[in-house]
Amino acid sequence: MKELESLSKINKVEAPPFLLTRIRARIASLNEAAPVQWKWALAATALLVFALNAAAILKTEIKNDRPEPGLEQVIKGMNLSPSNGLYDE
Amino acid sequence: MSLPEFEAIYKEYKDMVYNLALGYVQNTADAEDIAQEVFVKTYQNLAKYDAQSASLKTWIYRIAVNQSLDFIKAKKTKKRFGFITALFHKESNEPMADVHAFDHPGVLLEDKEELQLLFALINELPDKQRTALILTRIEDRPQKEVAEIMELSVKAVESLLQRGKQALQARMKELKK
Repeated sequence: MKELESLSKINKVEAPPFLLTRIRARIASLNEAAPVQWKWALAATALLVFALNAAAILKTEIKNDRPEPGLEQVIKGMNLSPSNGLYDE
Repeated sequence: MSLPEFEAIYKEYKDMVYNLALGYVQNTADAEDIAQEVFVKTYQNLAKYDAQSASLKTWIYRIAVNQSLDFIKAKKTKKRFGFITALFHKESNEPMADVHAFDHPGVLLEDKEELQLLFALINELPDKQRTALILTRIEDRPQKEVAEIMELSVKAVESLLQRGKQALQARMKELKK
């Protein structure tokens, strides 16, 4: 095909000299990336542990605020007060 | 792999990779980006390179071909996305990135118009036909080597070249009408 012969007019060129500098910088950044990823992983783990602890604490507090159903009946039947006050006023 | 070893490889193949990238994108900025990624991948994967399966040159050619095609696909996707965001942000006067600015440093000014048109047609071809044409007609690789790079048979490469040429001829006829 005659038109494709025009492709032979293309000259080979040299790669620009700063290309190696760019590549060196990229390779250096690849080697630095691992510690940054560890920091993020550590932060995520700490957050997860904090969230789990907070959930556990909240669950315990809610459980302590409400007496068990059977115990509630006893309190009512014996006219006991859940408060720490000595007298009913 | 040590940096001095890598830089020796870089020195030997930098022009080959850069010129191949130019064959795909025809502008220096994109070719530099592609070449950079090719050599970073070479550095990262050299430990996995098997000298029994292919020569180092063939292996690097393969990385360069794949990286060039991936770059072009990514740029087309970016342009499509840019068009969609432009619909929602009409007040922005920023021009969308030109997918394909013709700025091939190996093309003389007097040949620019002719080659710009030819490359526009080559760029429309399916990836494999385009690759076969670039490797044979621009890189001047023999068909046997092209077959090794593309991991195809020589017959398959011949068929790709034939179909590519037919497609180009058909498009040129359309344009002349």
